Amino acid sequence: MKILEKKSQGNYEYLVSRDSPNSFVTESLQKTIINLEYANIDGKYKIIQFTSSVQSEGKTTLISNLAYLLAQRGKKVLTVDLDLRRPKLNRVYGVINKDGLTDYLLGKIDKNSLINHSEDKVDFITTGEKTTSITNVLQSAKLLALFEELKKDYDYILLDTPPVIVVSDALFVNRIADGIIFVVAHAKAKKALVKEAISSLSKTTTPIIGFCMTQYKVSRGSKYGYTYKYYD
Amino acid sequence: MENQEEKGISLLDLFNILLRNWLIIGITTVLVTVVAGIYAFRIATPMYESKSDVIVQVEASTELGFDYTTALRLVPSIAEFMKKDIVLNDVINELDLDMTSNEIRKGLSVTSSSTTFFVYISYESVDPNLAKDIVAQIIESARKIANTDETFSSFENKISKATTDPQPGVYASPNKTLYVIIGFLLGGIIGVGIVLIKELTNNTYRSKSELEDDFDIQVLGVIPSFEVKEEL
Repeated sequence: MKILEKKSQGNYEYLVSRDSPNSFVTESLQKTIINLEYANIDGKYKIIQFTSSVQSEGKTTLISNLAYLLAQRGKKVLTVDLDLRRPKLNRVYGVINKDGLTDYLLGKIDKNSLINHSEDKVDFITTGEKTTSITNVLQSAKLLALFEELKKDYDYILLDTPPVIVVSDALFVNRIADGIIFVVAHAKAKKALVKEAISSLSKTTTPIIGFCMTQYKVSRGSKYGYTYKYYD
Repeated sequence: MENQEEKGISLLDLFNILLRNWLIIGITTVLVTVVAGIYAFRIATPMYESKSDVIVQVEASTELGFDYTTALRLVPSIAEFMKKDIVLNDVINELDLDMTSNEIRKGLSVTSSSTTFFVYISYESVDPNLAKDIVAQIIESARKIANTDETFSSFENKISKATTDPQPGVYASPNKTLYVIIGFLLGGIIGVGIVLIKELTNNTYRSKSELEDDFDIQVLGVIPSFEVKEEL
């Protein structure tokens, strides 16, 4: 019954981890970071690609919040919008999509103007001008080179990419990423689609670091059950 | 770290499922109630019932008074006799009805008890006056045949005149309130059934453990859905 569900999407400027630091949601995000840090104990996952099986599973919201919390922990974080078809990351930082990735690749701007700095100490790169040759952009050598360079400056680079099932963009981004975090929204995508997406990602050389379940509908009763789990 | 959740569904989960799908349940309840209401108030033909009764009396042969034992034994037979074709055909002839004896029997109910001398006759029809006429005529015809036909000589003079004057039929069915109540309950049950089937045949991921069961990939975090609040 989607009709009556309150909107949790759409207002990207609201960062739950920043604006409700003591909330249960922020706590869950912190826990996700702790698990990620454990998975990344050797520091081999610098560039992390976020994808999902279908649209609107909460990738952008997750990335922007994780980026904020990582920056809070003193990490140098860069978020990059690689969803060239439906860019959304710029909304998080309240800027328009100009001087972004496509402009840089076309040589219109240099690396310094490409990277934006937010008030939350998170750096971000927008998609830039819309282009029709998306696959060319994502497969370009210049993009690969850019990320090789960026790797040196940051602890974490989080990539927002389109869903796997919709377009193959996410599979091209694989070459850039060190690892994938696969987002599964609670009770949204059919299991078969998730399995299909995972199997196509598994065919690439980039490892899947783990899942992250978003938009979990917490019932009042199980909420306590969850909070106690942190004291295992 | 791993906290195994119980498999299966708790009463609270069930309650939450129903609460989440209140709209489906509400719609089916209203829909079925309305259908039942339309049937009861608009479609169903109203039926009118007329009632009467007779008393079975047997005069004793030896002394003045009555032979109650024999009378009691006769009561069920007389009740049966009133439903016979011979009586009903006479009713059809007398009232010049365009009906068969079987059709009359459908609306006719003749009851007696083993402890009283009364036989109760009631007839349901779409026409209140016809109901009254048929009840009255059944008593008349039964008396006439009992008193004249040799076959039923043991009933001779045993059936009294109508002890209650047949009145034009009163509204008997359908019971509108009952229809609406049953419609309401049935609608609720159907709604709950639909919701449960929908939930049980759901093929999306709804918990961390479901993901872990299907893939050999860790779940880094479970982020609850949240609403955008301007202030906590």
